[in-house]
Amino acid sequence: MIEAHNLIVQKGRSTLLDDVSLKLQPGQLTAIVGPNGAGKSTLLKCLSGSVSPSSGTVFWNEKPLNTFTPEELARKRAVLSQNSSVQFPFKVRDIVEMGLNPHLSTGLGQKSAEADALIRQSLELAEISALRDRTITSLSGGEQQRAHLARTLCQILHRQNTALFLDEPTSALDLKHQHGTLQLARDFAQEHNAIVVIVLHELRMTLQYCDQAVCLQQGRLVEAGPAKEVLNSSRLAELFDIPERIAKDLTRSFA
Amino acid sequence: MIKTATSLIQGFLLTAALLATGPANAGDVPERILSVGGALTETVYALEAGEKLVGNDTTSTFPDAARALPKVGYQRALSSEGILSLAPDHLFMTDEAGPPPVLAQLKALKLPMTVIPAGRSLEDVKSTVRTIAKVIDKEQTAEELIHSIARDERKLAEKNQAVTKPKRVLFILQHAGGAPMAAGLSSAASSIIELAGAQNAVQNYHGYKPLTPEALVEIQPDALLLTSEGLAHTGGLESLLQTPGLALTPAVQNEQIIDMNALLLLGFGPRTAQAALQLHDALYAADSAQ
Amino acid sequence: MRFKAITSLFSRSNGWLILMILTLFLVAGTASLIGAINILPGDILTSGFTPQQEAILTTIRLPRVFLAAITGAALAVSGAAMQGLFRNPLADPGLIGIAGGAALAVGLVIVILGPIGGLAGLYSLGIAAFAGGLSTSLLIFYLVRKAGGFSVTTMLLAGIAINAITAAATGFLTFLSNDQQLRALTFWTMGNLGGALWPAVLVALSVVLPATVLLARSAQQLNILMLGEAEAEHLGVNTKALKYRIVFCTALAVGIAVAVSGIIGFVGLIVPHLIRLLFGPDHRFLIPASALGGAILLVIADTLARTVVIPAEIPVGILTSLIGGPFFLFLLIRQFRGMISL
Repeated sequence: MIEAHNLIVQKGRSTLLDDVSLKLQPGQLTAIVGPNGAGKSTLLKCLSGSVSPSSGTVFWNEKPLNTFTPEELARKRAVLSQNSSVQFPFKVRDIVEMGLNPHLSTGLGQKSAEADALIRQSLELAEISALRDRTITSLSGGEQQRAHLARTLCQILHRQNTALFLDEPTSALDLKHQHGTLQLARDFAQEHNAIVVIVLHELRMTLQYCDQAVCLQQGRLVEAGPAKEVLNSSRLAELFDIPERIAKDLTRSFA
Repeated sequence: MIKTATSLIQGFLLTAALLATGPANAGDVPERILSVGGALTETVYALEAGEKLVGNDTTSTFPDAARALPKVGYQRALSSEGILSLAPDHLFMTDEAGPPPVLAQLKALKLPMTVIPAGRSLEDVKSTVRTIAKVIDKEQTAEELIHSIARDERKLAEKNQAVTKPKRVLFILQHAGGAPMAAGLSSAASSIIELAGAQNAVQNYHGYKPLTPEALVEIQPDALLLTSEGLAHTGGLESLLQTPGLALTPAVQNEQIIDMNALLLLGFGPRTAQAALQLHDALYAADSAQ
Repeated sequence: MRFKAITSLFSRSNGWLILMILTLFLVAGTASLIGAINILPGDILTSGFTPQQEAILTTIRLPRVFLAAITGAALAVSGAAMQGLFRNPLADPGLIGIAGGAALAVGLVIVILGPIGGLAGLYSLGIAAFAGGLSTSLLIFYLVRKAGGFSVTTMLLAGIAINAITAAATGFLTFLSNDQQLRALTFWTMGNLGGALWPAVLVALSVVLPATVLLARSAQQLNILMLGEAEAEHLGVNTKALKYRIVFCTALAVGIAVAVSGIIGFVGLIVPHLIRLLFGPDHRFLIPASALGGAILLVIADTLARTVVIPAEIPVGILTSLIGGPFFLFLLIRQFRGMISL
């Protein structure tokens, strides 16, 4: 379980997160939703431990996050950032193999059969096996995104009780792979008893796949709870400043 | 035990062989001489041992025969293998030769060498002649050479005595780029100017420095001195006269511009006394004609 | 199980490394026989070495070949690591100020102190170059930390600024210098391995070998750093420690290379670039292969430098730049064309 207590993040004079507290349960897919600039990515970074809040604490199973070493943390949680671009022509397989790095010091052999199997499995899950020997620099944006997703999965695939953080993982994907990725995220949460947190703009998909939703507006927590309850049409209309009619249209099939 | 013995024997054989092939035997006269430094090469020729030279360096340009010999490069950037490939049995060089690690390698190979300080006076020239003569066993020839140098020296002293007002001479090393590089104190140019009974027009710095046009006018040299090579390299007399400020000096107004071969003028070799005489005559010829 | 271990030992990349090691031995062996005084293999087989040949081999040629190999390896490995650290295939160890600082220190010794005799004279330029190079990169380091954090961009900018200052100061020294000093300084900046003595070889080896091993052990972490610093942290890499380690190893290796050989350009740029082009960017192969490639290249270049104009020699730095420059342009154009046609 991950608990966030009164997170405040300030950068210069602006407050990116303002007193956010929440709990995340294993086995569930949680979406962070909100308009641009609501602090979604900042919250994700705080929860995953890549940004330290100005005040407040994140606990992982009641242990403060900042007491973990980077390597300990890397064995428990994986993060897919919004834009990771690689300038050197690494092969897709090599990129995915990098996900195994935190486990090398705990007995996973670099070229072992186990490592090989994990890499193959991750490639399949992210539906990018066919491109395994292509260089990353020669791929399209969507293909690159899937390669990095495979790398992120590879990092925690053989562990239980982990956490997976995905920051807009579908932004460059076609419709088929958008659904594939979200299905994958939900299955991963259930099969690995993992906490999966995702920043998502596609509200329909959020409603379709996510168990929980965390609504942010201007750095403040609006509400957190089951997705279908939190993301009702009047809340969406208010949150995104859109006409009620459009919001109703979005939620209709999930009501 | 056996290993030590063989390596000892090997070491002994190596040393013995070097002693046998090299002239490290005391009293042996070198037959294959390598000379690094224009003045030293010139001295070897003046001592009538030129045929024993197997090579020299890029500064060795006199006499003409010296130009035809293999060159081991610039004296500060020598290469030990290059030197050894000429199989010299004695090495003459100035204290400017290097780099030090190459000299260390040559010493480790026990190549006989004589290091001679670069000269700045006629006494230095004579001592260089004596040092080299002793090594190559030409002491008789050396005495004759020193004799003739001394004769020129006396002639020079007489002429210099007659000078009432020493000319102020500006030596310009090169004048490309507008600011001529002029010789200050403690330079070879300064020494030869004084030897010729004149005075260096620059008295307030050491070594070579570029002069601004204004300083050129302020110095007011009576004569300009250049190396023939330096003058030719930068477009001759015409380009020299274009240098800003130069036209305002008495030297140019009285057409007192003298150029001499670089090695003759600055080399401080066996021809230095003659060079000083030549320079003296060029400087004071007009005066004595009056 | 055992069979598997053997096949992985002879995997494609290991095969190439073994081939490069053999090439290095072949090239070094040949280089030891070629020179102003040639040693013919046939003669050795029939009658052994003459004392003169033996003396030349042990006091001049072998230390020189060793030093060329060590220096080439140091420059190429450092280039590979710098290009990884800066995530830029055109980065160069010069970016952290080693060459500039070393040139300034050498200039100070030549122009201000003048000729130094004896044992001190033998090593004074090398020690000055090492001290100058290292203290310059430490200064850049200090400035970067002072500017807050350790970002690669600040490091790049600080490096450029410090390099400009050292270049200006060296320029001022050339203004002060006399003819001989100027030539000595110019010759030093063109690189030369002629002064190879065994003590220098041993000192260089004792610095370059551990630095190379340490960099090779950081190879996978360097690979991960290519994803970006945040991503590398997510994967458990202590990026700060990694960056310190890379800069420290590179500064030491290049510092010692500059100390024993002056400034030799293009090896650090071209060798890793070529290997990346042929075998891909994986640092686990790139770093050991660069070490071997750099060693091979510099042994060949130095053999040319000392044999082309016998009995004199060309500064090896001129040769590497003269050959390296056009070759590098050729690679760039080819690469660029390839990108367009894709």
